[in-house]
Amino acid sequence: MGFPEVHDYEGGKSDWLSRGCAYEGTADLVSRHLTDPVTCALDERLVDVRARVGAAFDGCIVVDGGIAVGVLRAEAADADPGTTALEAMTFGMSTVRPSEEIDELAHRMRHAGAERAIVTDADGRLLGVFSPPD
Amino acid sequence: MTRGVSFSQLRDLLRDGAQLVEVLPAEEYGWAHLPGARNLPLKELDDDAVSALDRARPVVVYCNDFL
Repeated sequence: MGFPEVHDYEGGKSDWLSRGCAYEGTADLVSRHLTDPVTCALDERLVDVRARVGAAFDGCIVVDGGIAVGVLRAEAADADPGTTALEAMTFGMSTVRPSEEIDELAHRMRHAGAERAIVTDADGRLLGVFSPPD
Repeated sequence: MTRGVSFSQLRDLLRDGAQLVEVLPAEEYGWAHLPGARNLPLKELDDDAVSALDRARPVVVYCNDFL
């Protein structure tokens, strides 16, 4: 049709949405309902994490270069303060994509008894935390 | 000839003024689309449909994933 420069975005809409990028339309996706998570680094000592977060420590997400690699559960507060996040964390947490529709995710979370979901992109980069609306 | 671009290349093209076109049906476009994208469903693509596009600017087409 005579256009000199035409490109094809190979990843398409699913790639765009799975990165948590802004979108237009009627969909209500997780990406619009994120809250900032409490995070810590792999080599951070629990004593320092607790001092930074305060008495409200309820666990946090362990990140390495922006990639979510594990979770420190609330019980970690009882470990030796000199312990690092790497030593105390739980590997292999479940994550969800920002491109999920919140109604479906909320239904699954209620069924599983989950209050919060860790949201990452396809590369494991931490984007935030999702909590189902009341 | 259409050239495939990655996410980062798309961001560069958009920064430089490229026009976005979603070729999925209207219902899917209405559900969600990239900001500023026009909807030109593949089955309806003809000279009239593309007349609103600026031929002097690059065009980036996309669908749900790999075309």
